[in-house]
Amino acid sequence: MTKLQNKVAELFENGTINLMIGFKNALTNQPVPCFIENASQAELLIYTPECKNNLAVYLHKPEVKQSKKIGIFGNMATLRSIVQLTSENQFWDIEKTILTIDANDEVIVFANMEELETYVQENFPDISEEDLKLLAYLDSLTREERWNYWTEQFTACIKCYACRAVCPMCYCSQCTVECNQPQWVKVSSKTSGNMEWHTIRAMHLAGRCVNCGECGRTCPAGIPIHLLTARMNQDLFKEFGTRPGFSTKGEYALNTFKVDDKEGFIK
Amino acid sequence: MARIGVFICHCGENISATVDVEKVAQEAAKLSGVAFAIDYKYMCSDPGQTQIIEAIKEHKLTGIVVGACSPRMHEATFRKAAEKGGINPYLCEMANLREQVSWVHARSEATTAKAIDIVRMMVQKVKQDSKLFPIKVPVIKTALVIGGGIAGIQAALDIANAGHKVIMVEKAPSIGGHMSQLSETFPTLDCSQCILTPRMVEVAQHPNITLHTFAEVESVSGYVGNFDVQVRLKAKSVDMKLCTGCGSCWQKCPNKKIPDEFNAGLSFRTAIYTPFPQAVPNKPVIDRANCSWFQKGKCGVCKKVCPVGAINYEMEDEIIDIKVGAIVTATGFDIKHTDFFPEYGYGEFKDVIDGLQFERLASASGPTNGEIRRPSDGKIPEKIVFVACAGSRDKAKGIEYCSKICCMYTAKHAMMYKHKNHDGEAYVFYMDVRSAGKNYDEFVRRAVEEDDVQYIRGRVSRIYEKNGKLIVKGVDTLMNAEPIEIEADMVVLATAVVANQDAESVAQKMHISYDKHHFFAEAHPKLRPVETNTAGIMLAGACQTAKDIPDAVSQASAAASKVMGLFSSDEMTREPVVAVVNRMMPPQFTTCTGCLLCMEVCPYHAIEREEILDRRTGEILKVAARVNAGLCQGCGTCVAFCRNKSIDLQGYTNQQMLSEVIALLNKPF
Amino acid sequence: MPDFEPKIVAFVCNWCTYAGADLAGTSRTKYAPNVRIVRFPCTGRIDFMLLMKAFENGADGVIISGCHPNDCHYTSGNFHARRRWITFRSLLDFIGFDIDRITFSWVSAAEGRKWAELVDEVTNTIRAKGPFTEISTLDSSKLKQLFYDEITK
Repeated sequence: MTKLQNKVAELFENGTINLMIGFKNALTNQPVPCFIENASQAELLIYTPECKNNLAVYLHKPEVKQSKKIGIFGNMATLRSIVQLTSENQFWDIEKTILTIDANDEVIVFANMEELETYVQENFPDISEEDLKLLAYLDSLTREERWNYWTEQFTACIKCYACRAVCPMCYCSQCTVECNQPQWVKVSSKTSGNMEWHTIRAMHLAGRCVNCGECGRTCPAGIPIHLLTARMNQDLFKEFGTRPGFSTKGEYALNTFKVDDKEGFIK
Repeated sequence: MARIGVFICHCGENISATVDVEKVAQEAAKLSGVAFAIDYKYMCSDPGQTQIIEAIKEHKLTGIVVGACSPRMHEATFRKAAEKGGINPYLCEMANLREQVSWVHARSEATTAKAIDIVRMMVQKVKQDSKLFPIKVPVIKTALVIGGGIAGIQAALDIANAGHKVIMVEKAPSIGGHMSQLSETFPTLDCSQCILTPRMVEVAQHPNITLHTFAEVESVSGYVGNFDVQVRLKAKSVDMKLCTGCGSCWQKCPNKKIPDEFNAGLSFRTAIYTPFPQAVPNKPVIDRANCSWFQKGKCGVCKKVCPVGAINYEMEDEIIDIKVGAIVTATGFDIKHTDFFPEYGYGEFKDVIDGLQFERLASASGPTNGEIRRPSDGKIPEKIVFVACAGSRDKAKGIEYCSKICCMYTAKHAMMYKHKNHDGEAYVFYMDVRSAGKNYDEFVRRAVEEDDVQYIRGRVSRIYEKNGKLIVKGVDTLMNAEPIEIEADMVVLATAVVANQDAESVAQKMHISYDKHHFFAEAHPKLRPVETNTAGIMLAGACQTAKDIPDAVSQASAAASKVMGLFSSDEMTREPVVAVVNRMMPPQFTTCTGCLLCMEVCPYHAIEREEILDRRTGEILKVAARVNAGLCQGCGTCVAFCRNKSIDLQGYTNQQMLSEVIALLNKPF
Repeated sequence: MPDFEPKIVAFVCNWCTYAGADLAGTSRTKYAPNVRIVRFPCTGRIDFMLLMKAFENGADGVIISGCHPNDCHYTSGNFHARRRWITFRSLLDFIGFDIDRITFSWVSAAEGRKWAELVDEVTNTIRAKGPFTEISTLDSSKLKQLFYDEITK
């Protein structure tokens, strides 16, 4: 058994956790999320660089929460999501034990949120090279070209809301698109309505998204929507110096302000 | 089914000259949901309002739109008329057809079209209006005054004399504040203690005032009309009921080398002490941090000599709970004591002193019995240099503001010195002379013309000691920037007025805002200078910004009047334009996810965390936000911020604002 | 385009810009009649979706205006609004929306003249840009194009 599997079995045995969320190998040798309920199942757990899913999204599910004592394995994106969600008061009803594997292949079990916060702050990742290239390419286009590019993408959107389902930050029990008094976003998948949806999504995630890229990976129409929030995070960091998933304080770019925020475009 | 009434006003010719008012009324009548539409010459007049009232009754209207002047003008008028007609006043909206249409555009089709668009927009809004009722909050008619300086004393007396109960909390062993340290006050030069002490005694003896000295506020919770305050009564180690103030204890205390705060460090006091002879209450306390009994377990002399057995070493801090309806913050100021300008030698040379120290030297009850003597060798100085603006108005030193009182007290100090030493020489290095109050400029002229004080416009670059004298190097900018050197016997620095060291923690306890200098923030710099953004908490005195005694007293009385307004009835009513977080049937309870990020956004701290509990088991089912309607002022920032629209602003709901925008831009079929 | 009169929607705060617009009225300062003002208690209340909705429903230009920083009647509403606008504007620019059709400004209750000049300036700018059709043509044109591309593949 690997170090991770041993550690998880130990946590089950001494009653620290009732449920473990991690990764296992699926039939197609692709890592998938899994839920382990006792020590004997611990040998299923794996960790490879292909384990890209953001497991924090499962911490909102009532079926998971009823286990009360939950262990969760985190890649960096998951860890950051957990920090961000803690700053948004989302875990008052569960006890979570967070594990990760560091750069030296050692298993770390975080004793408390302060330790997790410190680890995240010390190993804070940059935005990926691939995404940076895509963003730079989009920046190089003229405004009309960009509009054509994005509206073409939005035409392909089928409003399946998979992006919303897979994002750990989208935990509202009633999403703004489900509010019909008033109906802010058109229900059908017309391009204009799709644009409304993606605009709202990007604004609601601005300053909260941890750039896990899951939304872009999940989209059945292949739309790189993770670029929208990546650009938001880039700008917010540039303008206000804030980073999502950095601290457990409930303050982020959009609910704080500085008196001397730059405002060159305001007449 | 909506039955809206539309009333278009001609406003004489003010509207009708530019806008085709009959057409506007006709188009309004065609809108779905409008049951009645007319135009009339003067809607706000008596006959005009009567038309509205009768139309509501006759046509059973469910809401009205008055197309007339700006709502900032007559919204209240028409809301009252609506109420008289029998509908909720918040079901009345105004379309601004005068200030924003007829007065700013020429007569044209476009102008009438704009008027029609605006009326259509407001009709759509009114259809979504809901009845709103003023919010009533009960009021406890007891005020808390924090700080026993002149501002706190004035506020307390005003409120107590109006018949309400006041609790005053002061952290020093006696009330009086900095004013009790002054010798004479400008511009009259009357004795500070003489005008202050009768007030202090009045506070102590007033039947409506409960005075707690040597006490501090521990925590404040609750909201306007219903504050819950915990006060820590620090252990005085002396039983106040038994003590007669005879003074045997401090006369015999062997520990006589503690720097006296009241005398600004120019003399020493004992460990058991009263701060000054006219202290109120005039009973001593033990400074446990410097007392041999408490630090080393030796001594106990005071207990032995006390004739009534009032000393109690076992006394502990006591925390009391008080419930008050309003709080007046009068915590005062401090002056900068540290070695702010190393080039001036403050802290290094004994004869370089600050303004408060000079006051103590000049005071008859001070360490030198009123004779101005050098702290180093006790000699009477023949030449004194006063340096104004020592720290203020200096961006590089971080204090860019003007401390307001120093020009006046520097002139006063120079005059006091000259009155006591007719042959002495007094020099003042100044940048400007700010003496804008009543009789203030005349006062400064008196110093120059009658008392021969030499005013030199320029700054001091350096002060150093040489052969027992202080060499002051400055410049005279009115004489072509000629350098000046004065051999002075004493230098008095007018150091900057700053906020108290603990001002930040006091403000945080009370949830009031403060600026970067830790002065407390007023609600509006011009129109609401004595209130804070936290409803029910008022400001008085120098804790808000540097000010002199007349201004502190005025502000204190103003704050008291705000408190008395609050207490004028048993319940206070508030405008119902407040935010509300939705609540619905179980198991949903609310769409709010409890992320509580909106709490940061509210400038009034009106959003609270609420735990929704299972009625039978008490288990927490959900955590959500809740708006305290007593505190909410209706800005709506939280509403625009909430991602899933769980919070809405009554009077400007999401439904209303969206339908306004859509109605504005889309013509009816 | 001849005879094109732009429709401008202005979202303003009650305490500063709305009062400033009233002042323009009492001073009889004339300005273009293309603007329609929607009143909010504070700029902090203005939802960014309302801007999109305005454009979708036929507005050619939008003005958003409130109290100067530090002057907000509710202390900090305009500071939060400012951050929101900086973020939204950046997003709109990224997806290729013409952000010059949106004007943000601080107009105080004493600046009636500034309001009038702002409205005139914005009206002229938008008139020169022409009507805003990029969203209304979105649905039909894209589908037609895709359908056409599919058929002619």
